[in-house]
Amino acid sequence: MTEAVVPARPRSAAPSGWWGMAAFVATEATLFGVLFGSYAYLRFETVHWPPDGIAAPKVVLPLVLAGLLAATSVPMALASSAARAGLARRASTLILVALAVQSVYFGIQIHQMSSDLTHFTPQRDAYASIYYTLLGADHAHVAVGLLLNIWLLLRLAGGVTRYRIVAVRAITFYWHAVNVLTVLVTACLLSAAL
Amino acid sequence: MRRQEFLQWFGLLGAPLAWTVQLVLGFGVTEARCSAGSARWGVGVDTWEISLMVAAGTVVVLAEICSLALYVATRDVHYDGPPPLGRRRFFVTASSLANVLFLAVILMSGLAAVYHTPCRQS
Repeated sequence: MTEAVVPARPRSAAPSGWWGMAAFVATEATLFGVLFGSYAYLRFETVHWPPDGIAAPKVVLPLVLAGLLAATSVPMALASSAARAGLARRASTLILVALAVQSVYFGIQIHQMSSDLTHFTPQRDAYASIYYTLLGADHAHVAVGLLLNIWLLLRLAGGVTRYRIVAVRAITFYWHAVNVLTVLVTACLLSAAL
Repeated sequence: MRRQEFLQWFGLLGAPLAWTVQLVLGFGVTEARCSAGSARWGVGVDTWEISLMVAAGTVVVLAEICSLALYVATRDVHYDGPPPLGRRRFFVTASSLANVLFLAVILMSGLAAVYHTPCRQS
């Protein structure tokens, strides 16, 4: 009796650049873990949440926006695959698509935050402080991601190199993490409306 | 190789895990101290905090020793080299520095918890 030999798919170990991003994401996850813990602590120590005078957050728009941002994980993942296959133009197009959606998300969120600031400031009370801290930290991460994508597009204009492939993989990983964090931050802040 | 793999992961993850345990347990102990149900616990908060600080600090020192041992063992490898040796070098370079920071964080939060008076609004 003979056995068919199926060639095993070669296991490609992640490069150090990818692991560096993984370590960075772990530190950011710790930061957000502490913020979520602070939110829960303040929430359960306070009788009225949000406090009197502050309207409960709107539900639909933040959910749609978070879903929109999370969807950009798809073009980013495809861009990573394209870069690994040596297809620079395809990777750039996919990153450009993701960048366009991410920019729209960021623009609307900043507009929303500016609108909130006209109603209540971070110094007002514990709710306002943790609300703006969580939201601000999340927006800052999105802003950094936008800059990284722009930098990536500029680099990929010169073609694909091993270094640039690592960069695409690492930044894709970063975006997956930011998208997960955004969904969690949105869910956390919307819990005040329940 | 297996030994090096262990040293690499313990050197990298030992300190953050020790700090996490100290932070979460320390918070829990302080919170418990301030609730009526734990009034007759018998063990003071300071004893808990100092024990946690010493235990976490010991783990970090061991992790640092592992990192430094592997740092010396991989001195001929470039951190951007092919895995697993390149990755190992990259990890121990980062963790041998990060462990020092974690030790400082653990000592500072442990000592601050001892000098802090719980159950009082700041």
